[in-house]
Parts: sequence; structure tokens; C-alpha cells
Amino acid sequence: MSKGQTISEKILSRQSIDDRSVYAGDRVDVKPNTVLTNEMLPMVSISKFYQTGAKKVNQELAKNMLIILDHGGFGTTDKMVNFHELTRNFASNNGIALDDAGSGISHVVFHEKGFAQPGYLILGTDSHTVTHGAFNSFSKGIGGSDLVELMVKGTTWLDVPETNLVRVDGILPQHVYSKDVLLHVNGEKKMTWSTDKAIEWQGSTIHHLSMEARLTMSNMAIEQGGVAGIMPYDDKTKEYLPPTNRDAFPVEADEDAEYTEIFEVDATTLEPVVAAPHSPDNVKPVSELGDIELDQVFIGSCTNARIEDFDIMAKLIKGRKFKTRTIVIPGSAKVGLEAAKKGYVELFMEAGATWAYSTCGACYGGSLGRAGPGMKVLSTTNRNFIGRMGGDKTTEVYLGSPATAVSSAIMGKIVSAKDLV
Amino acid sequence: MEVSNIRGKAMKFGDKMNTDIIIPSQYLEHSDPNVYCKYVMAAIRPSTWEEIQERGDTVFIGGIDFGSGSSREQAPDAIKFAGVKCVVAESFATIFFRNCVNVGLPLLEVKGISEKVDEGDEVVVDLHQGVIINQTRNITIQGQKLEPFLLNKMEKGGLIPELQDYVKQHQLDQ
Repeated sequence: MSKGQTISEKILSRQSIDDRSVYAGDRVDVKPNTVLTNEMLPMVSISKFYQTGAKKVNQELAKNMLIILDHGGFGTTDKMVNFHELTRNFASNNGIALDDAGSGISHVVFHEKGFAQPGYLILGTDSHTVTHGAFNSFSKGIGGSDLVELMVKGTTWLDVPETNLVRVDGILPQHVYSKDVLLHVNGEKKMTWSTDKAIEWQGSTIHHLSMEARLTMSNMAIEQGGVAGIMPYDDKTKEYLPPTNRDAFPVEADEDAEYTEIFEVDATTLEPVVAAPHSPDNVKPVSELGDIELDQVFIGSCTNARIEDFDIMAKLIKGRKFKTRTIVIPGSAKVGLEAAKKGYVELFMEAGATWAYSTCGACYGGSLGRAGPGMKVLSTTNRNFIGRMGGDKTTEVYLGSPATAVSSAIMGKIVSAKDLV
Repeated sequence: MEVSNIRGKAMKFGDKMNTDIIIPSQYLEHSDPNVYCKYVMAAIRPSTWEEIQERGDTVFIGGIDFGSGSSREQAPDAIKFAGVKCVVAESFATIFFRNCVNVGLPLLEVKGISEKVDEGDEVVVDLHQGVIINQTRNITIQGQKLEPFLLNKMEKGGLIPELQDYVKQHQLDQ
């Protein structure tokens, strides 16, 4: 009898080019279902691609590749303008789909366009490619040279990872969100607990969560070191997927699948938390922080800038004004348009926010709200490493949920939605 | 590429040297690694590039989770082009590890290395044996040997030379 398989083992078996059953520890040549890239393409991969001597991108791969210009903003610098133009030409010459600057953040646009499907092997030149694991896929970040290999050969190699299982059960208390669950696990298990491993999520709480809440958690699998952060497939997955002619291959782990570690979380005991400087695993309850006055609130990124995040924020504002300078960046142009139709743009701007076009922005230290030395920032993003959002060792960035962010903007200091009476 | 007799002076860093520390995002626009390598480790030790130019051949010694964070391949390229011959650390993040192999930056995982090498020590690294010799203290420390599959890629100088052969064999340059 064959051994039970994890979700990762099943997906990598299906995508292996010699069609064999693979298990943790195996090395396998694979063909991805879809490939994601961004400015890594013009900044690293295009020149390396031509260094190989190749003339054209593998045609099958080109059809399944999506380029999203998200990191560089919109006409921000002369260099970036040139990178974007180089990308447009490369995409057009090779028949690769392109979402231009302003379309949105790759890890939002990619699934809006149906490139993320259950059971898919997805590879992308961005560490937060793990986001698409929320769709029950094996979705992993790769480097710029790995993309060159894919563009030349259409295939690459992967090490089949061991899997850590996180089981979350129970109903979340009011004002506690999926970001808090994820940060709680980060705080308990730290950034290296899943290095070289995949993470699978199970439990009743996960099924209660919306797809957008699950995307927030899969997005930060990399902040636990994980190569993938995979959610179960259910009716919510099916309903959230956009209409597409792509096939879906929902996957369940076998009952006798082998996990390296199983970590259980009782959702009913959780409270709003933040990751304090300078690491996403330096997690503290908001209630124990004391008074931390803020210079800036940043709401955006592939972690927390989807429409449900804005629904949560809109419900909490109730006519109040922001005491802190606040920047809101929708996850995609589509999210931005929906927010406008729902009246949220007006609502946020009346509260005093700056509403920006969709881009990665200051999450990684790009445009629209870089922080400076000595500044204190509350952000809905995924990393608060030294200098990431700009500034230096004296810049303090705290990571929290959109509810915590909007409550903090209203109060001018870090508070959770519990403290908004 | 030399992988069995890598010599240099140790330059030490602590735990969790993530990619935002190794090469902060504002320098990525200089897409030429000969240019952006001048900002290597800029977020934590801005003088790194100048120090390497002064001391000559350098080996980075790091703590746990070296290279965590972004998939940016510019991180190992910045280290390599700054003149660093090898990175030896307690542990590496997954994507960074593979990026090092791809760009041909020798690396070795050695548990306990932080305690056994001081700043400025003369070290010799042999990837075939998976060892680092601290000549200053006259000790040899065994690390995690790189598998032949990865060592072979490294010796060829990374992924691009390998792909150049593939392109010729398959006449993709026609």
C-alpha cells in the first residue's frame, strides 16, 4: 500500500514531469501551472535570460505567466519608467500577459485574474507568492534566475518539503481577525519554525473565515519561514474564484499523511495583537503595549488591502476623524473601484486619509509613505524589519490588522477596536 | 569557480540578517550589481563595502536565518559583487539559500559558528569537505556538506552557465 501524502506531496506529484509519486525529501523536476512575476523581471531576469543565449520565452510557459508591475509605482523615477517600458516590450515580444502599473498588487491581481486555482503549482519571483496557498495550491517564491530557468526550459526543480500542520478551532472573539491568528502563531513559533517546510492549515476556524481572511494568513507563511501556506478547499474557495476556463484540482491531505509538527490553536482565547519592531515574530497583545503615539498609519499591501478589510474599517469609523496621518492603498484597481462604489473612498477621505492608487507602496519601502528615522508607524503589512519601510534602527514599525490600524488612526496611538467605544 | 580553498578574513553579523538589511529596496533600482553592491548590509553596517575593499578577501559569518524575507536575488549578488568569497552561517532561509547557488555565491551552514570565529579571524572554507578552518584559533569546524547536485551547480558558477549549455544543446539560440 502506498504511503499517505500531504497536500504539497500530492500537488508536486501531479506536476512532476515524469509523473511519479513524490514524498518529503525527494527532489523533483516540475512544470508549474502558472507563474507570477513583477519588477524582478526587468531588474534581474531579462538581462540574465539573454545571457543564456535564448531568444524566446518557452511558449507554453508564456501562456501561463502573468507579469504585474506593482513594486515600482507609477512613473516614480526615470529608472523605473525605463524598467516598465522594457517589461512592456518583453511581454509583447513573447506573448506574455501584463498588468501595467496601477492595476494592483500582484498577489491580489493574480487571483482576481484566475491564475490561482486549487491544486495548482504556482511559482513567483516574490516571497509573498505563498499568498495563493489560500486557494488550496502549492504556491512558492523563487529567485530571478529560477524564473530564467522557467522561461528557457518551461520546467525547474523543487525539493519536496516536509509539512507543519496548524490546526485552529473555535470561534474568534469580537475584534479578533485572521491577522491576529497568524501573528499569534508567529509569536509562539517564531520565524524559523517552518524553514524549508510547507505549512498546512486545518480546523473549524479556518472554514469559518472568508477567503480574504485566509489570504492574509497564507500571505505570511513566509514570515514563519514556510515555502508554502496551504488552506483547505471548501465552498468558500469555490465561490470566491472568478469565472475562468482553467481547471481546478481540489486537494485534501490523506488521513495518514505525515506531518513534522502539529500546532494547535484555540481561537476562543485569542486577542488583538501586533508584531512590534523589528520582527514579525516579536508579537505582543495590544492591551499590554502601553501608550504608543503614532506618526503614521499605513493600510495597504498584499496582506490586508482587499475589500473585506475595507468593510471592517468602514464599520469602525462612524464619522470619527483620524488623529494620525493615514495612507490607504487598495490591493488592486478592482478593489479600489469597488471601494469607491461602496462609498468607502469618501468615508476614508472624510476621516482624513490619503487615498492612493494601487501599488505595493511603502510596504517594502517604495513610494507613498516611506518612514523616516524616529518615526512610529502602525501598518497592515507583513514585515517590520529594520529599514524595510524606510528609515533606520530608530524607525518603529508595528504590524496589525486593518481593525487595529483604523482604531489606532482614530485614537492617534496603538489601540485595538475593543478600545473604540 | 573555487570552492575547496576559499580564503578570507571573517566579517561577523548577528542573527536574522534579512534581505532588507542585506540590500535595502531603495538601492535595487541600480540594476547593475557592480553599483548596488556598494550598499551591501547598508541597513545595519553602512561601511561594509568600504571595509571589504580595505581588508581584501572576506568571508561573512552570520547567525540563524541568514537571508530571510524577500526573494530578491540582488541580496546574494550584492554580497558576491562586494567581494565576499563565501557566507558561513548557523542557518539560512530557503529562498536565499537557492539564490546563492543560482548566482554562484559559495555558502556553508555550520551550527555554532558564531562562537568559533571572531571578527577579523583568518578562515579557509572547503565546500567539498563542508568544513571551515579558523586559522587564527587553529580549529576546524564541520558544517552541513552541500549535496553534489548543488555543489556541481556552484562549481559551474551558478545557474546561468548551466542554462547557456542547455540553450546551445537545444538550439534555442537559433
